Amino acid sequence: MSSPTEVLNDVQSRALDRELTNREKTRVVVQVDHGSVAVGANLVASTLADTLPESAYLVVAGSDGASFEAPKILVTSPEGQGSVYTNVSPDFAGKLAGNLNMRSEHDQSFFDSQKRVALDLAGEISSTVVDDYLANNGYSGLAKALTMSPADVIEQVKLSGLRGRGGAYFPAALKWEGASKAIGTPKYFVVNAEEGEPGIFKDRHLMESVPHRILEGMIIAAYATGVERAYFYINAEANLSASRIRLAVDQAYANGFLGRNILGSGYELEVEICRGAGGYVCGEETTLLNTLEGYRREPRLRPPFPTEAGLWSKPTVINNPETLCSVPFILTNGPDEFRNIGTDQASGTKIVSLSGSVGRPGVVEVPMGTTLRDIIYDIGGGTVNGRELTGVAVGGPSSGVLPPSELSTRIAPGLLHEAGVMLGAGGVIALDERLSVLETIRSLASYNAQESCGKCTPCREGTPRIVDTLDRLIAGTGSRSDLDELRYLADVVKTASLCGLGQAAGGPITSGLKFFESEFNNLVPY
Amino acid sequence: MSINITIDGHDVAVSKGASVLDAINISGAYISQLCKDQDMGAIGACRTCLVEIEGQSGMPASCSVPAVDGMVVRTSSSELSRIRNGVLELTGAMLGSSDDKQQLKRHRELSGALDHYGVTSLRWENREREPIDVSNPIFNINMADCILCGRCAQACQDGHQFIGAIDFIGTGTDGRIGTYMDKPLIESVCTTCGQWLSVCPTGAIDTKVPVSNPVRTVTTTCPYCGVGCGIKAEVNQEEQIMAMLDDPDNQSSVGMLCVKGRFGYTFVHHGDRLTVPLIRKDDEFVESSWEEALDLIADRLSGYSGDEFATLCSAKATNEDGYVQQKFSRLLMGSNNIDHCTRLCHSPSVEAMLVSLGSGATSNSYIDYEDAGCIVITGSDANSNHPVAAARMRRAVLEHGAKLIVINPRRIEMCDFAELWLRPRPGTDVALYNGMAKVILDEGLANDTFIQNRTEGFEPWRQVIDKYDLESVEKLTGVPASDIANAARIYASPPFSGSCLVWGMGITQHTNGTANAHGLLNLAFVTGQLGSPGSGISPLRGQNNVQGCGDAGCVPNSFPGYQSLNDDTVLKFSEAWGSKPLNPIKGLVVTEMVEAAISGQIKAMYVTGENPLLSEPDLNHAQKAFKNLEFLVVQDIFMHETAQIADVVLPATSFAEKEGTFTNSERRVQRVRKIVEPIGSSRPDWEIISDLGRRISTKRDLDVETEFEYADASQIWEEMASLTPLIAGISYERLDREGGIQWPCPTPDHPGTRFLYAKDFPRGSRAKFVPFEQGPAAEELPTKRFPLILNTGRVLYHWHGGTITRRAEGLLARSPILEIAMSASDGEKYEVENGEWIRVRSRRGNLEGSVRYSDKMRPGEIFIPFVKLRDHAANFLTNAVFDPDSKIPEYKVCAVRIEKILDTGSGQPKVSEAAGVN
Amino acid sequence: MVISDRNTLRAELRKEFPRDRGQLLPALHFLQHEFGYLPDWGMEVVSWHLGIPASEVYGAATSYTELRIRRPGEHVLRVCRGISCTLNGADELYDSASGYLFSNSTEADGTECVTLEEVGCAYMCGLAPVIEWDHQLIGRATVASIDQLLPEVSDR
Ligand SMILES: Nc1nc2c(c(=O)[nH]1)N[C@H]1C(S)=C(S)[C@@H](COP(=O)(O)OP(=O)(O)OC[C@H]3O[C@@H](n4cnc5c(=O)[nH]c(N)nc54)[C@H](O)[C@@H]3O)O[C@H]1N2
Ligand SMILES: Nc1nc2c(c(=O)[nH]1)N[C@H]1C(S)=C(S)[C@@H](COP(=O)(O)OP(=O)(O)OC[C@H]3O[C@@H](n4cnc5c(=O)[nH]c(N)nc54)[C@H](O)[C@@H]3O)O[C@H]1N2
Ligand SMILES: Cc1cc2nc3c(=O)[nH]c(=O)nc-3n(C[C@H](O)[C@H](O)[C@H](O)COP(=O)(O)O)c2cc1C
Ligand code: SF4
Ligand code: SF4
Ligand code: SF4
Ligand code: SF4
Ligand code: SF4
Ligand code: FES
Ligand code: FES
Ligand SMILES: [Mo]
Repeated sequence: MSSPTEVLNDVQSRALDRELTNREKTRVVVQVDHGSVAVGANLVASTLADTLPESAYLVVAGSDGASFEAPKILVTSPEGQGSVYTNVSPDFAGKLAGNLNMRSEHDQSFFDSQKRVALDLAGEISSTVVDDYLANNGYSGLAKALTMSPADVIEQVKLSGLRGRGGAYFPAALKWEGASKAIGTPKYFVVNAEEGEPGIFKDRHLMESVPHRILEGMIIAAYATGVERAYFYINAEANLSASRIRLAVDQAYANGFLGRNILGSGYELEVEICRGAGGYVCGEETTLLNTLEGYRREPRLRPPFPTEAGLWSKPTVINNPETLCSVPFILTNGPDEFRNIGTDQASGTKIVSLSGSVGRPGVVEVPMGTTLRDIIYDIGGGTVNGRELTGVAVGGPSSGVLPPSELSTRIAPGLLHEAGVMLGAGGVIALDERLSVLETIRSLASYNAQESCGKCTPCREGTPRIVDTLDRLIAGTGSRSDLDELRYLADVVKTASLCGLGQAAGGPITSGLKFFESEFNNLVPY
Repeated sequence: MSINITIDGHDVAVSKGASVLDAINISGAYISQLCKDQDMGAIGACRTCLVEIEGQSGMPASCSVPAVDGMVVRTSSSELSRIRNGVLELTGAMLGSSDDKQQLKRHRELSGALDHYGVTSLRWENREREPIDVSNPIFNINMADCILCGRCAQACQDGHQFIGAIDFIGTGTDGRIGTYMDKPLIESVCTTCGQWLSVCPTGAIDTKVPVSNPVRTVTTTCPYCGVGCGIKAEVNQEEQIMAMLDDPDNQSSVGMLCVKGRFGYTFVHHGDRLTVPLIRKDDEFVESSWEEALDLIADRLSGYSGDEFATLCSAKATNEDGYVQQKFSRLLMGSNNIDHCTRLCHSPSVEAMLVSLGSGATSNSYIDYEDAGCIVITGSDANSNHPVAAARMRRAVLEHGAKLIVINPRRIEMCDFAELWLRPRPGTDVALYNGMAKVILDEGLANDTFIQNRTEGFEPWRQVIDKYDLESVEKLTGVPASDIANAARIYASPPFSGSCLVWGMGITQHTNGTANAHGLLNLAFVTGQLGSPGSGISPLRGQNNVQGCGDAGCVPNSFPGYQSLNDDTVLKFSEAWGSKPLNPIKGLVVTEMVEAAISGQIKAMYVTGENPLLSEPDLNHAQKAFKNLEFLVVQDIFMHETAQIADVVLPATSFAEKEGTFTNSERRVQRVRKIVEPIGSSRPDWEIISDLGRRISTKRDLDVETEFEYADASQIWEEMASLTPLIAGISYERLDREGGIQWPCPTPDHPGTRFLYAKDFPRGSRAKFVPFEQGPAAEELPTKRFPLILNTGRVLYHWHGGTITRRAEGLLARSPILEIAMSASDGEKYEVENGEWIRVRSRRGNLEGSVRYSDKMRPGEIFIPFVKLRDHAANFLTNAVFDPDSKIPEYKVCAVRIEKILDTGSGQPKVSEAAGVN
Repeated sequence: MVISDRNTLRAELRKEFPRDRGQLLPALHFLQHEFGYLPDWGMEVVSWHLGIPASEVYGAATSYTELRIRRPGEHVLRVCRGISCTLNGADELYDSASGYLFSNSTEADGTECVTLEEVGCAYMCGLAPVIEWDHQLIGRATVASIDQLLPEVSDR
């Protein structure tokens, strides 16, 4: 009997063999993801497919995160010489196919300050064929995990200090341990790829660029917790993500990473892909469970927590794709290597969805502890056209807005500022004078009101009253007491609400009142 | 194990599983809790039960935090009141501005909370809400008063009723409580059970008739069906019953009620109530005094004795009433011609159970349905007729995953929850059950240990069963063989726990009723599905006290407690009642009485609380019988068809005006308590009969006057209990203390019995297999002239002939006309339209009603409830033929045809015989 | 196969979805895929098939933003009004679209030809502003993109 590592070696070397036959040719990578498709990447890809010469082969990858450069083509000659072509048109693609030696300059500053653990292969390897991932040591973490006991796997992850990246930053190992010790079978695993929070698009990015890395992390986690059935829950709108994951799951079954007797270890795991049906709160884990069970899109009471009684009242682990993407790294490189990234309190990297007024928006991965300034300026290239930065909306509607004076804030799990600003799932939106901070706050508040599921009174009734009060102020018909009213409402909603949506809905208000006090004061007569 | 926690500095002990809110409530401290109902799970929506817990940050909602030993909880602090009041303000603002505080008073729990915390500044604009839904005849829903706590939806769904007529619809401020597609409630599947009334904290759902503050609440038992739900009657200033609330402490109904229990009480105060004795003089009733009426009856009855006299007892009246009445007949009239409506109802079940087991009662309890892995429900439409028991079955299916098997020729609502629905041809159940038994035997699913150790008669039975191969059973019954086999498999080996077998009138009211019942019992024996939790056999009892009426001895063949008329018991009762030896000969059953009245053998009858001239089959025939009597006394609460031809009519009190006990379908003896004073000069049944008894004793010189001197109902119970081992351990004192108790309960320290036959059977250590073959499906089958099968039964909103429910306005409004249900294809075939007023005729009579196309009906079969509406009643059509063993009439099958009513314009509708005639 | 009545739908559901409450969302997605929205008779069939009270099917359906209870127009134009898109000119796009549709919005039978909707984010903020035409996303959109799409339909 051979060990999982040996079985994997076989699989990997077969993939490498297939790779070798391509070595003689020019590698042309076209980045196709939901974002780039919206600016014509699929046309670029089909042009390439139709016109590339025999001496080249085409790889359809996801994006590397540089939204501002999409559509994008990477060309590598057999000698290993690479060129990058950005913002290409189908026309250009046709020309390029005719002359693969066309030269191009490429500015790497977007990538230079990033630290890529989850994304290191994104945009470079195929997202529709498993070979590239395997050739890059893919599934080695899984093979390693399968040679260990589940408890040891949990221990490794515990040592790494990995916390969930879905926004709540709960220590991953503790969650797995809780479920593995909980009474009740079967146990379930759910990958939470709902990603319904405005300003966040990193899970789609992962699913479309490194789908196998998520699966590898998921299988390791499921093994560690003693799960035999997993659900991969994908946002209703994210069709491309879903089809890439579906493809990856098929390939994983075909290569022995899923199904019975995974890599010869005797471990068995089945995966089913499920789709959401819309609504920010769908991503809240207990709401997601309701969705899977055929109930209204509403959170459940906790306790019991999903690790004790989740899907169909069985112990259930729910993790975010980004969380899972760190897991193979931890297994292959060891927990210390992971701890070396980030800060003492927060190990590893964080994927940030960077947008708004920045010259280089996109998906970026940085070590925990990186400052907002570094993200916006070094990576993002500063505001568009050098406009004045007026604020930074961090963490989306569940969080708040920081002023330019707080740019030295370092990203960290949880609260970034006690005024109610949290990192959340890692959205960073730079603001400039084209949209006033008050309008921004109103937009965030109104999103919360709109997305309130309506189950609990403070959130259902309070969030619209917050918007009404803001509207009054912005229209100039407000009064000084409205400012107190806002503060009070935000407090009540935050303290009394049932789920994370309401509990965080006060953030935009409290941070706004704290940092933009004068803007608020200017709206009302003394 | 108990948990100790500290609430505002006071120590409180709670049991495991309790929430912090439970602990607060036990501690006596007040905390608002707008979305948590006392007997349903936490919803966590109102966010007004906030507390602070030492060592935890924030303000958790106490309803959703489990109490943990050593927890220190605060229900008030300045920060708590700041936040909680904010939530309450937001809640109050859903309803109206601060000027409307007055209006808020109505909003019971909510206004209480606002008052308690002094929240007065409702400073926001009221928001737009949906208009008021007035479609239900009994209550309105005013969304403008709704705080979206969600309790009503929970009550309608898995909190209680498992109906799901309403749900939370939409999200955010568009959120609302509503029906499918936001249709008016009346167009939904709502059963008007009113469960949500009892949970709504604001009065958004409220009865159309406004309620005031009750002066008194009386806990008693529902007077309608055999489920025996607990009710709490609220009485207003005018000494009228104002509302009926459910009783969460009642073990049988666990906080539920159906539409009749909750809204059907208005008959009590109806103007038609009999209030004075009436004596027929020159073919007209004249009011009389009690003296005159009773003296007259005593005079006349003294002229009859033994077999010339018969009496019908009332399954609506109390155990005590029944006991006195059978004592009256045996002791004073020397007659065992004593019976009650069970003859028309479960006599085949009782007959079969007596032979096979030695006693005739439901073996298990409603809680066993909830624990079962499989429930078979055959010949019963529990949703309509035993609604609260049905809700508990739905809980079993939906919450615990039990498999439900429905056997019924007609589609019933329970089919929606069923794993399998077998649809036999009417009257072919014997073959069906024999076929199931064969599968069980052939596939090795029989419980051999049970058969060997606890039964007899297996071999001869087996030989009969062997003949019922699935192919021929499929042919006979019309049920696919695979369904029969699957049903047998699931019943014999349920996915977990045991299997319950539940049946009703579709089994019994056939000429092969007793055979059907034996067929079912045999299934229970061959699989051993009785005598353990989650299993058992349940003939669902019909009337509120039909179980008790039999228990009290209102049957022709035994004394109270099913003590048969043998020498020992005759001696026992003769001695106890201070009499010369009582008549030891078995008397006549109801249906035999009718024939005996026609033949002139029975000359005088005393009928209490039963209306044979609507409930007997072939009413023209029955009328002839009762008119043939020399003397007829009817004692009832309303002037009904039988009373109309009586010589004397006596006004009895209803359940609401007397003390006593009812015994329900799960053998639970429960107290009936006086809610209001007797209407007019009506008197409790036992009192009337005792008064009359003393007079007859004197007239006849029997010297047993003291035997009819009871000070109150409890004295009667004591006498009955002392003579009846089954209930000897039950006393009023215990019932008041413990709530209902299930017999057998032989001693005062006996806890009562949840299920029977754990060890042995009343007839001995072995139950008996009794083989039966499938006979003709029914006595009268369709012919060319009468091509349709008529199935009769009930609807949710009416009670039998409707004597009572026609006088409960809400119920009548829900079901005002007689509906003739048929498949649309029959409608087309006989050219009658949905809603058309038509005539249905059998060989014995006819009726008129309105066509109701229904996908529940199979072509060739029509269904008419036997309620009388606008003078039309199904029993004019039914066939007075009887099951040989139990003498039950064949109510469920007779042949009829449909006739169109053509209005010729001359005022006289003309009947065309076009339909159904060649 | 064209699903036109309750029976064919029921047969189809029976083939595709086991009778299990967990199949509610997949079944509703199926329905929406077939009809572009959830017709009320269709939800009723789903309710029968899955054994879920109709009110609860409706309650669930109305809680998910992507499920449609009402029939949408022949085309659906969505404009992202998230912060990045607003910052990059979404208001202008929206105003231009609603301007068009205001004058040319309904068919003779009263049904909308184009349903205009706002979304809170289209999840590609790096390519703001974003619009969506019949499920197809268009990044870095301009008023010209809308000018291209709308006359096509409103001129018919
Ligand atoms: N609302 C209401 N509730 C009542 C009553 C009432 O009048 N109104 N009455 C009470 C009384 S006294 C009683 S006894 C109970 C009766 O309660 P049920 O026993 O439920 O009585 P029925 O309505 O007569 O219906 C019996 C069912 O048997 C089915 N059936 C008919 N023929 C056959 C057959 O050949 N085989 C099988 N398997 N099924 C058949 C019918 O279709 C029908 O659904 O209800 C009690 N509860
Ligand atoms: N076609 C057809 N016929 C049937 C059946 C069927 O399924 N189909 N079912 C049969 C069955 S199962 C039954 S049980 C019978 C029921 O037949 P009945 O028992 O005749 O019907 P009810 O109308 O319930 O009669 C009860 C009477 O008691 C009166 N009453 C109520 N409370 C009291 C009280 O406290 N004291 C007194 N003295 N009177 C009171 C009421 O006013 C009412 O007149 O019908 C049978 N007839
Ligand atoms: C309103 C709301 C929306 C959320 N949306 C998501 C989401 O889209 N994806 C996600 O992974 N977690 C989301 N979460 C967090 C989840 O509840 C949960 O914490 C997370 O999926 C756990 O995975 P992790 O431990 O790997 O982060 C959301 C939480 C709230 C309150
Ligand atoms: S906080 Fe908002 S989203 Fe969460 S349960 Fe309450 S109403 Fe629903
Ligand atoms: S009356 Fe009963 S059935 Fe009707 S909506 Fe209320 S709880 Fe549901
Ligand atoms: S109607 Fe009453 S019970 Fe139902 S949600 Fe509204 S307030 Fe609560
Ligand atoms: S019968 Fe039961 S289920 Fe039906 S309405 Fe009454 S209580 Fe509700
Ligand atoms: S189920 Fe029967 S006992 Fe219970 S409330 Fe309804 S009629 Fe009364
Ligand atoms: S009673 Fe606890 S939240 Fe309503
Ligand atoms: S804000 Fe428009 S795509 Fe995110
Ligand atoms: Mo009955």
